[in-house]
Amino acid sequence: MEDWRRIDIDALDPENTMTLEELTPEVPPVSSQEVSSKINNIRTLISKGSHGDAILLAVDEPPYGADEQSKELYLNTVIDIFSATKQTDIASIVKSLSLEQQNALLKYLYKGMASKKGQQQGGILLAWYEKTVEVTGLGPVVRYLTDRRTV
Amino acid sequence: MSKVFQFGHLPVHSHCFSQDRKTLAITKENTVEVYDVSTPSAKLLATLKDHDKTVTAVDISIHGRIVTCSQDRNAIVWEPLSDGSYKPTLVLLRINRSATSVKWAPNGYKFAVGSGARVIAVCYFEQENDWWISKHIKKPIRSTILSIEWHPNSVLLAAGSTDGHARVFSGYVKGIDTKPEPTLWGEKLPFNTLCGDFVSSNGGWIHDVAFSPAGDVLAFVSHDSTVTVVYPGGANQPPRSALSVSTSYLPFTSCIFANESTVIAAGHSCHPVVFQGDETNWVLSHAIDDPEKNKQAEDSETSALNMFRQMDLKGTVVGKNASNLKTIHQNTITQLRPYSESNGSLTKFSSSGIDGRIVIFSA
Repeated sequence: MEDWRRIDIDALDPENTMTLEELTPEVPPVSSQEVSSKINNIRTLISKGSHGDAILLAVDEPPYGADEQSKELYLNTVIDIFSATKQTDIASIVKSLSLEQQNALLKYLYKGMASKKGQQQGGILLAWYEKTVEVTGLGPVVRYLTDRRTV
Repeated sequence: MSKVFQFGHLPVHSHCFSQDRKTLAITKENTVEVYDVSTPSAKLLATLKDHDKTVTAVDISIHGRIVTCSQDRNAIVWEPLSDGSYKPTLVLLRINRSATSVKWAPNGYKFAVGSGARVIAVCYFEQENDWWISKHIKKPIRSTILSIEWHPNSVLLAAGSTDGHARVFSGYVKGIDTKPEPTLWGEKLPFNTLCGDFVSSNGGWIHDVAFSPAGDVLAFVSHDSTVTVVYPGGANQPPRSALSVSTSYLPFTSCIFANESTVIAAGHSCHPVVFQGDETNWVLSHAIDDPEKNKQAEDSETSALNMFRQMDLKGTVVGKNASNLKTIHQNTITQLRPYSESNGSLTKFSSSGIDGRIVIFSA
């Protein structure tokens, strides 16, 4: 006899499942051209040495709606800013960001730690993380955990 | 000054004072304990024992009836008898997942139960059958309801769910309710009408919802550490404004209105926080029982009991207060409730916590 007690009845109920799309707040789509032009702008700022402005540009309206490949390229650029910035400047840069931008910054720090490139620069990311959370408190960390709009 | 009750060290998921504030009901594992708190030391009056899984919520109506709901999928109404005991009546909820929250309507004639079965059960007493029966609000709920709150008119109810939606429904029951006056939420309100649907700004779980004293404003707290306040725009209209305040605290699990322009929220940060604002802007005003300001008081407090307790727990006497939080609650606050008010504004409110404490704060 079939072991009916082990049947997952929820799987048989079509109204029961919620897809990831339904749970994600709507984000406007971003094309890969837009992402790469933004990356170029950020790179120009890095080469000029104005890292604060580069961070500001990077975490202002991050490309939530872009495809995975563009997001990857964008992340690598953000990690480049992280490693180019002097550690003593971090606190003042973070303070100059708005709440929404701080949330995005935390997302890039976490995403960076999960990526190959970020792991090679672990020390830098950890220093950024420490100094950021010192300024912002735990709010952005919680929002990183709950927000389904990913960077 | 805050008044603190310590009822053991088991978590209190929910608490409720009676209308006259003389009795207090708290959840404790599978039971609910009822205390007489009119004297300085709380006295246990009764233990309500019929649930066989964790009791998730308790509420007392204006008539003194207690309703409890539990993870065993049941709700029970406890009628107080003249000898001080309580007569239980099981309520047919017809749900296949745990019940998560329960609230009496302000008029005391019906209550609503939120559940993991993606329904809200609105329950009322049917005279002919001598039985509490339930009607389900199903659509468009597709996830667990974590919190329920009634509008002051006892018809509308708000529910917060784990998919990040806070919704306002009509819980109008024919024969029990009189036709409600039109409000900003809608004019015609047959049962199950969806009067408002709001999403948390970052898509986090909605832990708690609250109506303002007049009922024309809705506030909710979600797992992204934000408090959102919504001003409805009228029937079938988009809201006039929906304002969200992000904080640097850990997420809030409960919120209440102190008056039309003040919200108090508390949760995993273990102390209440006050928000103030109006239709154009809401801001964080201040924290109550702020750990930053409590440093001095806590450090100077020493006791022999504490010293031996630390030796017992940790085998050391150094840093005897190091493991104590610098707040009254030593763990997450699970629920806030209004306690007393004057001139339409809350003067005191109570809180329960996972540390087993009930605290009455001055607002």
